[in-house]
Amino acid sequence: MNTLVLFAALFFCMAIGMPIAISLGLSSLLTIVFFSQDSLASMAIKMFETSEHYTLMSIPFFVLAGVLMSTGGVAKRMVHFAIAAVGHLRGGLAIASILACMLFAAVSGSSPATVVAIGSIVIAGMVKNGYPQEFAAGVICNAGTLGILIPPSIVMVVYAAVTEVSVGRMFMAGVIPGLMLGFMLMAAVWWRAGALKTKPPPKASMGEVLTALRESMWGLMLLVIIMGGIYGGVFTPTEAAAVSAVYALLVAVFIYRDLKPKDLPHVFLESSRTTVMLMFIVANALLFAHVLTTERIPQTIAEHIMAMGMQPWMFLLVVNVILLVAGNFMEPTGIILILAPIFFPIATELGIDPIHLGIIMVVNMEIGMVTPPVGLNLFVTSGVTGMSLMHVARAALPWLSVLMVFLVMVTYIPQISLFLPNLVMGT
Amino acid sequence: MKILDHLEEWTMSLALLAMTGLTFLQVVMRYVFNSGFSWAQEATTVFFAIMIFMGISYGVRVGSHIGVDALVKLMPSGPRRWVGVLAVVLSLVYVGFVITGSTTYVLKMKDVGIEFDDMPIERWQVLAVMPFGLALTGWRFLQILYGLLTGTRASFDLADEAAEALKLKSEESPA
Repeated sequence: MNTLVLFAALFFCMAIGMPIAISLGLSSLLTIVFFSQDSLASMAIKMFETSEHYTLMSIPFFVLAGVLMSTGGVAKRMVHFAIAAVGHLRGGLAIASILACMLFAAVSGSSPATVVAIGSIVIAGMVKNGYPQEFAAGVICNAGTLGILIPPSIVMVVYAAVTEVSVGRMFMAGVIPGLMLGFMLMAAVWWRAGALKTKPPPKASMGEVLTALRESMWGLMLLVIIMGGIYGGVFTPTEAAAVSAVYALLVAVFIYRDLKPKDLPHVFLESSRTTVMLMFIVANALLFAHVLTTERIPQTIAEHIMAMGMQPWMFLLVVNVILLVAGNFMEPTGIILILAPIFFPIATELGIDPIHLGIIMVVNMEIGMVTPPVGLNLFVTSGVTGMSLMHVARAALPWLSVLMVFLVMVTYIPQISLFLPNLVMGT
Repeated sequence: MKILDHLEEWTMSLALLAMTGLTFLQVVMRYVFNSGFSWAQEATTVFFAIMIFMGISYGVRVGSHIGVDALVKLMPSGPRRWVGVLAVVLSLVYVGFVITGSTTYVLKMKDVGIEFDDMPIERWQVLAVMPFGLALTGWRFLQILYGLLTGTRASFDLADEAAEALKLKSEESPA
């Protein structure tokens, strides 16, 4: 009964267009008021504790670093380097664009930001060089999703916070899948590019490649700071995020000089606005998770599943279908916050590694970002190119099949996700 | 009202600046001077709390809280407005719940008078940002409700995250 009220209230609130945060909060509070002994004051404490959560504190810093780097300087130089390195191959500009997306994803934690930063530079360039616009838009739209798979990743921070797994481990688990998906997309481009009549730019000399590398060094250093800092034990993920924000600020203002000091108040306001939007959802989702736990909802589902004799592979299939459907209608953070507290205990019961489950969820979120009607990357690509939403969706479709194949691989080969974290950080 | 708008914006921005600065300073202190401030991490959480709870009302004002509006968008404008009214009223119910809960808690903490571990500040003084921020949020929702009822507003708008990302880009590109 109370389970029914909880979910009915949640879906009703969301359907009439209330913010996700308030839908989660109100449905939880109503369930508590009517069915539970907990006081409203204790719920207020739960919400307030969000601000004392050390892992979540990295979110404002990653957001700030991302906003600072999307200003163009870092992205532009990464694109130059990528073109110098692989531009001469068949379909070289498209392959270079994917490489640039991978590099940018390694310093930024968001997918739409990756599409905007890289896409706004490379799509026009590809079209100028004879690529059909659909081809260019489709590739970037999909490659941009790497933003949340290649660490750092805000979606992973959120997953780690609700399931209490280590952020460092989640980040590490994203490395091999991120590289794999990037290379799979590149291979698909190389294969499809045979039919295109494009002339790749001449092969850059070693000197030119090195110059481009040196110019993009300031941006690439962030990768070293974040990953090296966390795994070298120099600082915590939260500190790494703060250091990268300060570093990105110094690079943007003093080295690349594409950000004037007078723009800074705007950058801080923009970043805190995004952070508050995310954190308000998180605060209410923790309330929601608390209700789920006290009502033993995930445990009840888990018991049913065990009683039905459902195998782990069947459970993962169900997880994927639910996530793919949900991904069509909601944005990633909301889905992770609502579904992770439900899936996580069941997966643990079935002997599925929580890190593996996390990567599966992230890859599903990537797919959700390139499928209509609510695909953030589609909207952003449509904005960058001026193509209609449905046009972009059709353009993204062939490349989406690569993501789908990759999802099946990640789901049923846990080693893709688990090999590196287990190797580096022990089991 | 302008003062209130600026209050929200400046509080959020400065809280973010303070959080970033403090956390960065901690790292520098640890490696360069081999020491640190015991109060820094607690102070960071305080600024985080201030940013979150003072920012919610700002988010309501500028419409940055995301939601699912696929269904609402399909409705003709008449019913859509009334669904908007319902959504705002329910949001106000939520705000009422949270204000009640947090005020109770703040008053309780004030009676007990516990201080922070590393700072000579009583906890309730920081916790008070929660009912205060939610009260501001309630005020913003009332403004939206007024707009909907008088017809100056067509619906309860939610954020368009994609448009935001692009807007940010276009603002910066001339530079």
